[in-house]
Amino acid sequence: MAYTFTRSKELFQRAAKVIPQGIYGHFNPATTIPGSYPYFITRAKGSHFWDVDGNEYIDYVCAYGPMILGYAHDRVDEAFARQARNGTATMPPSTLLIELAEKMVEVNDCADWAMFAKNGADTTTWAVVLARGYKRRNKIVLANGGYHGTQSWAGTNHTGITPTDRSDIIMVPFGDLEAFQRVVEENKGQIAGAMFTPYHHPVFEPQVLPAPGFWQGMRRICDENDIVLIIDDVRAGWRLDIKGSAHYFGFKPDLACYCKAIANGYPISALVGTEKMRMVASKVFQTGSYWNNSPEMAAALACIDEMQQIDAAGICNARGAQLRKGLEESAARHGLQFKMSGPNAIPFMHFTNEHNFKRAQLFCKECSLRGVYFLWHHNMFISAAHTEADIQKTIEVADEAFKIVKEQFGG
Amino acid sequence: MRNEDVLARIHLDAVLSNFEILAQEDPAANALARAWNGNILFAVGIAGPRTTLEIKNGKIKVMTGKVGDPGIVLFFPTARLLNNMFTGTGVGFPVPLKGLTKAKGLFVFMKLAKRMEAILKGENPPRDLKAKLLMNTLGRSIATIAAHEPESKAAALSIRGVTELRIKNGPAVNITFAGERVTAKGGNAPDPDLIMEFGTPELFLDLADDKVDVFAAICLEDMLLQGDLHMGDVVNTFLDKVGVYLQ
Repeated sequence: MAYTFTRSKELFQRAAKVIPQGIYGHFNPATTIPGSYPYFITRAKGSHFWDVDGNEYIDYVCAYGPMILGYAHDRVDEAFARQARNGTATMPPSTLLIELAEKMVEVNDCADWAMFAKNGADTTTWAVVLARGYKRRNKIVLANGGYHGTQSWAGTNHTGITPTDRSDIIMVPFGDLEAFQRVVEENKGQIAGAMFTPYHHPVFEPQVLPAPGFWQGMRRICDENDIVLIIDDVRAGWRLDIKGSAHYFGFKPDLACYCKAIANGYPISALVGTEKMRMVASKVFQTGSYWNNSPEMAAALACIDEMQQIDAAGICNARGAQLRKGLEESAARHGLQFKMSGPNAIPFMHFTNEHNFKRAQLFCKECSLRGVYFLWHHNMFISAAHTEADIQKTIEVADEAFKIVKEQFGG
Repeated sequence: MRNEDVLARIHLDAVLSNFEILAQEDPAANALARAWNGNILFAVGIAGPRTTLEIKNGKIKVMTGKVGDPGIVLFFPTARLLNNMFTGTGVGFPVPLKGLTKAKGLFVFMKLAKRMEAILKGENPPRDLKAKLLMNTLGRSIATIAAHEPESKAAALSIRGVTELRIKNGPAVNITFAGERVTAKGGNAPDPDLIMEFGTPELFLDLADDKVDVFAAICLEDMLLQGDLHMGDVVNTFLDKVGVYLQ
């Protein structure tokens, strides 16, 4: 039976009366296919959620990354609930602060120390402050199309962000060592830090993996010029390698930012660093009302431990590979030029013979109407809760959707 | 921040081109336009933009640059003086280099400008014509901002293809982004990469008055946004700037 969204739309109308955008930020459904996607859910479990109209979905968005073990995960949720009963935002903090920092140092390849906040943007901003404090320099190098949050230094050309906000930001193409070297030479002694994602995962375009030797080259240039190398592992972290995505790509940054999957959906983020950055980290004052909340720390400890035990990254990779193979083969059978780019666990889908996403939008729409929740504009996320049966069902649904794309576009 | 040179180009490219539509669609304006035949050249500075407005047999045509032998030349030493004349603020009068003896042509143009103002800003204007004029203004202003405003030029270089703004079953304007060249023209494009469709003229007019929550309107399907939404993201920043320039 075809999915309908009457209740979702009614609720959105109610929301829009009291909330600008109805649902704001990256959760706003304008980038889905309005009229063919749900806006609100009633519950979620494992790799599935159910919307307010009673439709069930296999979810490949995973809340844009936080969900990695499955929604409503018993072990993580119980750890959170148990600690919540012992107090949440307390001064002094709980000893979980120490335990979680020790866990991060044990698990993450570049962590000699750890500090915690709430969102990824907290930690990317914190990292920028540390980098600027390290050698008392101002300029930060970022990659075109890279995402590090919506704070004014990281945002681009949006309402309310001024050129002054971005005056010390230098942009280079991702993966272009020569461009980075050139910028370093043009700004000799002025660049505080370089922040990149471990591989390029922009929105609205295919993902790009780093070429062999790229990160080693970056490390060398940064070392030669006293530039702090920062990895924003907020999105990719935990899905590629429990030791960090930098370990996956074979290099060691000075600072690394984590959030999203660290606690399977509970709000906590982490900034970790090497010994070299410890002293500047001890001098900088950054804080927030809830940064030391203990239930989220309990959830993170349980989540990280569970990810270690089950090899969550390995499962995500295996399920992602199954999905990629199934979708690409199905598309090819229909004569469609369809590819998944990026790592198996964090794939981006696109039709290679279009740049305006019209096929991708129709494909996602038809999948949504059949219970598969995909994104066309942004990378998706595979979780350790996705089963082989989920993937098989998804490929069957996708086959029907590809058929419709073929009928409408011809190829 | 408002860039006077960009605003001058908006006035010359986007606002003046509305007179073509006005004379074609509004009987009162058409009658006014029939009262005089001739060309008026608007010129900014020694090397600034020039636009020729031709009035002929009740029809108006707006052309970039100096076309033919204009009977009237309105020279504005600076962009700000031209902008002041268009906005009716501050000191804003041209140096009439030529055509003082053709006062009737200026008189006709002033009357047409008054008629335009009545439709765009008056009470109970003809709704469809107002929507068509504003659609034209928005589309051409977006192209001007994308092509000439320094910070917007950089953003415009990141997109390529055709954006179409349209009212459902109504007027449309399409903008082609081709590197440094950005152009707008009225009507539908054959296969736009991005479609921004407004469900009703009222919704579009409210949007032009900055009274619409665009994200909410899209989600409620009052507005359709389809195709290259990266382009949409960039065009939206230009759209926002139109409001800054033409507030």
